[in-house]
Amino acid sequence: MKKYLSSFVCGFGAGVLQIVPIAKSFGCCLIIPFAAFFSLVLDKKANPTIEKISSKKALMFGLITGLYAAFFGSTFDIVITFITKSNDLVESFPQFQQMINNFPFSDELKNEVLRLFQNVRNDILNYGFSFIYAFSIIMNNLIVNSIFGIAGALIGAQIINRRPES
Amino acid sequence: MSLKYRILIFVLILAWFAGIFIESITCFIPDLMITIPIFIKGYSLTCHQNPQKIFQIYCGDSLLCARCIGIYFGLLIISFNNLFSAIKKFPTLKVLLYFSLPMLLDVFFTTIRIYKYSKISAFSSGLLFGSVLFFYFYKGLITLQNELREK
Repeated sequence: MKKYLSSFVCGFGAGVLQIVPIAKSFGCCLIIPFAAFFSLVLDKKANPTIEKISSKKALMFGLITGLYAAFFGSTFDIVITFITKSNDLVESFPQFQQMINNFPFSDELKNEVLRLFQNVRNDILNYGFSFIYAFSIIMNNLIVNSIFGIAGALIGAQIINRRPES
Repeated sequence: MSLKYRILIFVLILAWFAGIFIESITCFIPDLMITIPIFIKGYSLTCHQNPQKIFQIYCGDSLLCARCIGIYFGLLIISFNNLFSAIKKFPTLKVLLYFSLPMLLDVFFTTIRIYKYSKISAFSSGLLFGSVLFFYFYKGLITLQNELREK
């Protein structure tokens, strides 16, 4: 835990930023890669060394930062959905319905898809929790954040390693 | 890096890139319709998905904005090129800075409204950035592979 304290801090920050709407739209795809980069910077500050950061270390820091961000991001999303009994899936349901109706498919297929998402929406509106929604959020965050964390850390390590030592 | 790993990198980037157009792909494979909200939510982690900044292709919209599509398209083009002639020379950090400048300036100028947002300029500046970004990502993977081999 102590070894990856910087990943914990940056992952927590990224998890929070991921659910704040304004910060999210400004940060775009940069939140997680920057969090991974800063976790390496923080670790270097905490443990000063003249050795270059190895790619293996960068990979681990990127992965763990991504996993922490996924954990906190998913937790905050599920908790906020539970408290408010609403989220962007509920709010965007009318648009989703319109989009599905615009597809050139049979009514049977459209109704089947809409019924499934209507159930998810009803679960969130009534209980503030839907297992399908929670599962998809966790899986999405785990996969996307891990990949972006690793990419950010691998590129970030090269940037840090090229800096002249003070 | 051997060809099989370069193919794997290309396939993964291609899969990510294809996912951006899941709505358009759904027009040909109706069964994918059920996955659209999951894809939208997944890609929302990496883009603001502003409806005015997305592309409409065939019967569906892209799940990312023009700039993000440009970045991933840049990654895809260079990774495709990497299949036929493996990258051996890597640019310096300054090149990354120079290639990211058009994108940063475009974001800055459109934010302070010096000129209006254009999908073409957003896409092309993202493309420049994405294409050079691949070199750094690929170099990181090569270094990682070498480190693992040494052990």
